[in-house]
Amino acid sequence: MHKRRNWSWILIGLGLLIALSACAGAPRVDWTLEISGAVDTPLTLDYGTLVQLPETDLEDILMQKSLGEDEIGSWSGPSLDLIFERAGVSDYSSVTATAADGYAIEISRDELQNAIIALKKDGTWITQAEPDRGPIRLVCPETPANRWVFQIQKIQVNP
Amino acid sequence: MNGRTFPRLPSTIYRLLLLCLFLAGCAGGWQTTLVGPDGTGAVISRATWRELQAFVAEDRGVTGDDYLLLERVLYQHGHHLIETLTVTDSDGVMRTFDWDAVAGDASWQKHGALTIAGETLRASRIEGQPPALADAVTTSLMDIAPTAAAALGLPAPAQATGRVLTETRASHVLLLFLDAFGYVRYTEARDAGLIPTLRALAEPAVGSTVYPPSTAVASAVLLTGAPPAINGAELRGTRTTEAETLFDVAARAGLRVVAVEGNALAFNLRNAEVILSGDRDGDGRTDDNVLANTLAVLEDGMPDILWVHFHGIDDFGHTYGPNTPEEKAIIAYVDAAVGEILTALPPDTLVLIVADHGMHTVQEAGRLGNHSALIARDMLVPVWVVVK
Repeated sequence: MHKRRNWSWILIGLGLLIALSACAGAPRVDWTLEISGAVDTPLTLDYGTLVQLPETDLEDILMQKSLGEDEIGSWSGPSLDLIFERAGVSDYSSVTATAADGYAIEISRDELQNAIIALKKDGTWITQAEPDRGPIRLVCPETPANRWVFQIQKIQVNP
Repeated sequence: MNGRTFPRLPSTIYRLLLLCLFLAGCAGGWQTTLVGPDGTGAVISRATWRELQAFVAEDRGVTGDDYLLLERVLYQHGHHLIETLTVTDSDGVMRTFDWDAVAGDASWQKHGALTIAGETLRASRIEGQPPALADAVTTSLMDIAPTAAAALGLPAPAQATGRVLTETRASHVLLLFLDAFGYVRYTEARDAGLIPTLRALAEPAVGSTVYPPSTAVASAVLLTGAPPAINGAELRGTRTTEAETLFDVAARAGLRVVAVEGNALAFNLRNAEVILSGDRDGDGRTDDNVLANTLAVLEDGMPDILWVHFHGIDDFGHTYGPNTPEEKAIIAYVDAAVGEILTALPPDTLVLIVADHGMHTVQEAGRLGNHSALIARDMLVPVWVVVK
């Protein structure tokens, strides 16, 4: 009887582990990012595709805020260079990034050094950590916060 | 003794109960009389605080800290411009503060105390005194959308409260948006000979902007003709409005709207063809790119409404401070750019030239100019209405 009871506890434990690991995976989010403009292959990347791309980690980087204190944080997600490689971007001067609420900004190539499409902030999915700023955010290290476009939907590459 | 209603308890317990009631009253209740610009008094209490709770995070910059900028309360009670503030404390002692010097740090704590110039006061009465220039104010940003709409024979946006500044009808409207070129700075630049183009126009009306004097909040007012409390864009970080805009009205009438912006869109300009003007030539400013894009639009054919936003005065004002050589140079540049645009305009165009706010000198980390206060430098803007 004791042995059977032990097995049942092990099975319950395994079930819990499986459930927990499923919870820890990427959240299901309905979101797309369009890459257009001076590209060979325009892309529409859904959230699941972005999650599958190799992740770049930016640790303890500075966001310069015009109001309040500058922020330091760690961000993770696919690099913009990788996405541009897949879209066949050969040369460009700037991008125009547009957010879901219509906010848009033109960002020079220099300011996009080491930029990523962040899916996580400080190890937590942005959609869970900052729901009103997620699920994805353009993160441009060492640049003013208005370049860090949250809820980004479109990137137009300018020649 | 049959009339006795209270149970027999030791008198100490009654005293303790009374003390508790007294303490609860002290902790929860406070009130201050705030005298409005029209001389009438309003009572500010914990209830007022609760009504403005949504602004706490914005004012403090950190969610959860319990204070409001005093200006927030003053603005909500009709004060749009303050030169001095007189505070009478609970002992009847009156103190007068130069608002220009103390506005940024004056706050109202949740428990009712004021903090001004590093002092904590328990105020029984507060009265703001406006500057003499307040008497010269004849218009506001609320008037721009109704005026532009009327010129094109369109109805004003649905929630507009502003009035029409001219009955002139026109085929086109140009809205020139000179970011941070406040009225006080205009007069200084005019007197210093920096702005021959603008000086050659008729003297502008003195207009008032809205609180907080910032681009996003003012843009919503410019587009809707409605104050922040109505159009919903009350915070600096708000990027869009649900209220009907001038561009919505124009689009419904089948008109073409083009907006030439700097590198970033400060506010959602839905129903406009937006042209961003990033600093692609890397010269450290975007106004030359705005000018080039505007002239290109005009060459292709003036749209029904053209919105042009020069951002350099704001950028340089923040970085170098007002009245510095760098900021003066960009003012002169923008003035010349305005001249080029006016020259390239087709006839029968109504030109509205406005600013969203002004700028005052600060000594803050990373910036030497800012705009956030209920002072003339930040809150007054020039408004030109010109028919070409």
